[in-house]
Amino acid sequence: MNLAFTQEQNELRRTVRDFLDKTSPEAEVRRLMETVDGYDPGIWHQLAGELGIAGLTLPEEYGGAGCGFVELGVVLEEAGRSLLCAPVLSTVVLAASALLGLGDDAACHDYLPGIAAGTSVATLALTESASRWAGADGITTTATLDGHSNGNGWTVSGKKAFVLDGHAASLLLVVARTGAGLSVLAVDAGAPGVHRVPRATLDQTRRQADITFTAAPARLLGEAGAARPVVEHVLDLAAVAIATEQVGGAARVLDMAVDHARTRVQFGRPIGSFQAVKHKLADMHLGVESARSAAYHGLWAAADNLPDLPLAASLAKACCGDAFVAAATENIQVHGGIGVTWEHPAHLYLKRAHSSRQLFGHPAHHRQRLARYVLAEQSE
Amino acid sequence: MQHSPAPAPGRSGEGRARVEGRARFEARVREWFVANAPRKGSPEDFSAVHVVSARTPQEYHEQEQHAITVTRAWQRRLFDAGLAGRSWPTECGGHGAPGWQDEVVVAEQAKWGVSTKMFAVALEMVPAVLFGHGTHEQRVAYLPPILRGEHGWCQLLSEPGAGSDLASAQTRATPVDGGWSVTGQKVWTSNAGCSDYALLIARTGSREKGRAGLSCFAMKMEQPGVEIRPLRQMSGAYHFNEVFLDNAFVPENGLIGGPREGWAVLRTMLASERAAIGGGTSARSATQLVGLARQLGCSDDPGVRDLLAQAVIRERTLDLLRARIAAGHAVPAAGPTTKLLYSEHARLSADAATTILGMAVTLVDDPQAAPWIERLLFAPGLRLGGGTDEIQRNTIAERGLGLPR
Repeated sequence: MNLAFTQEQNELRRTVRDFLDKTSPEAEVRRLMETVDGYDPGIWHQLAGELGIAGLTLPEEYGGAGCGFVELGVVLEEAGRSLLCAPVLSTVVLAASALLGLGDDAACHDYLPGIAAGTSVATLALTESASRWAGADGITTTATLDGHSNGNGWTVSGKKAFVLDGHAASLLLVVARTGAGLSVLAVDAGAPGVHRVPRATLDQTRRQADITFTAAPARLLGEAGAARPVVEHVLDLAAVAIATEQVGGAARVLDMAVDHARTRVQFGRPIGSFQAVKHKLADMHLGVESARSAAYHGLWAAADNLPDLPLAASLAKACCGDAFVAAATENIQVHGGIGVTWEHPAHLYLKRAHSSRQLFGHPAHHRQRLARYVLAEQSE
Repeated sequence: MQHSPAPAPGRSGEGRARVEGRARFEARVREWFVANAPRKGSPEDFSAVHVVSARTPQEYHEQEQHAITVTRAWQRRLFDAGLAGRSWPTECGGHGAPGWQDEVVVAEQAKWGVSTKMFAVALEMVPAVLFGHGTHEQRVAYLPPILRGEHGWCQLLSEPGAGSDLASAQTRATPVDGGWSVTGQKVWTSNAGCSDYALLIARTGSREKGRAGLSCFAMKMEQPGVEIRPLRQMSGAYHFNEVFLDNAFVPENGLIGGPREGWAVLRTMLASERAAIGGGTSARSATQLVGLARQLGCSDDPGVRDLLAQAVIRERTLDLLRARIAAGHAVPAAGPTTKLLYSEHARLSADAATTILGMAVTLVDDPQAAPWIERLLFAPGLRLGGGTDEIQRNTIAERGLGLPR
C-alpha cells in the first residue's frame, strides 16, 4: 500500500473541486437544505452524468466507470469540503455496494444502470429504533415468502429509522430477517405498505427518514439468509467513506480558521499572531493530518479489498469522527462571535461533524472493535 | 536522507522502471541482512544499544563506549557491503544512487537486531548541514569517515541560558592564529563522551546581534579545552552531558557556512533533527500496552480497551502519516508534525500504562511496572528535545499554515 495518488486521481480531484466550487457554493447548500428533497435532482444528474460520480466504482457493464474505492474517496473528500447536498452516501456507497455485494445479477442489471446514470436514488434501510449503533445486529424487521406466489412473492414488515435519504429514494434496500437468516430485499418506495416520515435533521444537508413497512411487496436479492457478511462489508465501506468525507470537512474548517486568524485584527494585530490561537490551529492541523492518514489507509484497504479492511475501517472512523468534531468546534472558537451566528457557515460544519460522527458507529464503538481486532491479532 | 531527487511517483514508464529497480534492490539488501545481521531477540541483538541509561557516571561511560564500539563495527560492515550512504556522492564515500535506496536500507535495518542510532547525528544532521551549507572540501573531509564508521558526531547547541531561544547563545568563538578559540558552556549533549566531532553553534558577533551573530563549526571533541560532565536526569539515569569549553580550538576550515550564517545552518540542522525524531521507528508502545493488559488480565475491561485502541490509533496514524510523507504527499510542516505526534504518543501511552498497571506503578522494583516507569520519566524529555512541543506548534502555525509571527 503506497498511499500515493496517481496523476489521474489528482486530475479527478481538481475536476470535482472545480465542479463543486461552481455547483455547490455555500449559497446553494443553504438553498438546498431548506428544500423538501434536500438535494437538486438536476445537479445530481449532472454529477452522475457529466462527472460520472454515481457510477465511479460500478462495473462498465452496468454503466459505471470501473474505478476503485480510492477514486470514490477523492470525490467524498471534496464533497465533504463543500457540504455537497446529494445522495452520494446513500445511493453510491450504501445501495450500490450492497447490490454488487449480494451478487444478484438480474437485480444489478435492473437497478445499477439507473444509479450510474443519476436517475435513480437508492438507499439502505438497516438501523431500527434503538439509538445505539448495533451494525447488522438487532434487526427485527422480517421478510416472509407468500407461499401462493411463484418464487418472488416476498413481503417485508417492520420499522426502520435513520434511513439516509429515505424520503427521496425510489429504491429501498431493506435488511430483514428471514427463516434462513439476515437478508436484503428491494422495495419500491412507492409500493403499498411503505410509510415514510421525513425527520427534521440536525445536519440539514443530509436527510433521514423513518420508514414503516407493513407487508410491503419486496424482491429478495441474492440468497435468503446470506446477507450478513455483505451487510458487514458494506458497513465497513460506509465507515471508510464517511471518514473520508469527514477529512474533507475538517480540512475545510481548518482553512477557514486559518484565513480568519490571518485577517482578523484585535489589539492592533492579526489574532493569528497570538500563540494561544497558533497552538489551537497547530493542534487542528495535527488532527486533520492524522485523520487524513487513517482515511486514506481505509480507502486503499477498501480498494484492494484487504483482509484487514474491518480494522482499517474502525481505525478511520474512530480517528476522523473525533478529528472533525474537534476541528469544527475550534473553528467556531477562533471565529469568535461571528462563528455562532446563523449567517456564518461554521455551524453547518459543526452539525455535519456531530451528525456524521454518529453514523455507522461512534468512535467509542469503533475503538472497542479496534481493540478486539488488535487483541485477537496479538494472541496469534 | 535524500540528496538527489527521485522521480515523482506514478509517472508512466519512468515510474515502472523505478518500481522494478526498487524491488531488485530490496531483494539484494534483504539477502545481505539475512546473511549478516543478527535477528531481533537473538543473543547478538544490539538494536537497543543506543539506549544508554546508566545509574552511575562510571556505568554510563562503559555503556557508551560499548555502544559506540558496536555501532562503529556495524557501520563499517554496511560500508564494506556497499550499503552505506547509497545516495551520497561518490567523492563523499557514497554511491550517487537515488534517495530511496537509503530508505530501503533503513527500513530493512529496522527489522533486524542492529542499530546505527549512535551515529544518528553523523548520518542525518552532518550531511544535511554540509550539503546545505558546507564546502566541497568539508564534505570530502568529514563525510567518508562517517560512512566508514570511524567518526561519530554530537551536537553542541543548547546552553543553560539558551534553550528554546538558541539565538541568545553566549558561547563565544574568537579568531586566533589559524582558526578560532571557543569558550562557553553547552548542555543536553548526547554521546558527548564518545563522539569524535561536534556540530557547534557559537557567537562570533555581538550579543545584540542575536541570531545574526552566530556561526556554526565542526569541532574535534578530543582536545584539552573540552570537559564533559554527565548529567543525572529525573529518572536517576545518566544519558546527557554538560560540555564546558575553555579555549577549545577549531581550525579555520572548521567554519561551516560563512561567519554569521550560523542561524541558517542551525535551521537546517534542527529541521533534520526533527524529521529524524518524528520520522524514526517509534517504540511500539501500543503493541506493548496490549501485551501488558493481557498479562495483567484486564484486557476485557472496556475502559482498558478504549485506552488500548487510542494508543493503536495514535501509533498507526503516525506510521501512516510517515508513509504518506515518504510517498510525496504535501504535508505542511511535516517534521514538526511528526515530532509532535510522536512525543504526544509517548506521553499518552506512558500515562495509559499507569492506569493499566494501577498500584504497581508506585513500585520501581515491580518488574512489570519498571520499564513503564522508565518511559513515564523519559516522556517529559521527549517533549523538550529537538525543540519543545510549543516551539513545534509555533513552527507548524507559522511555516506550515502561514500565520504571522
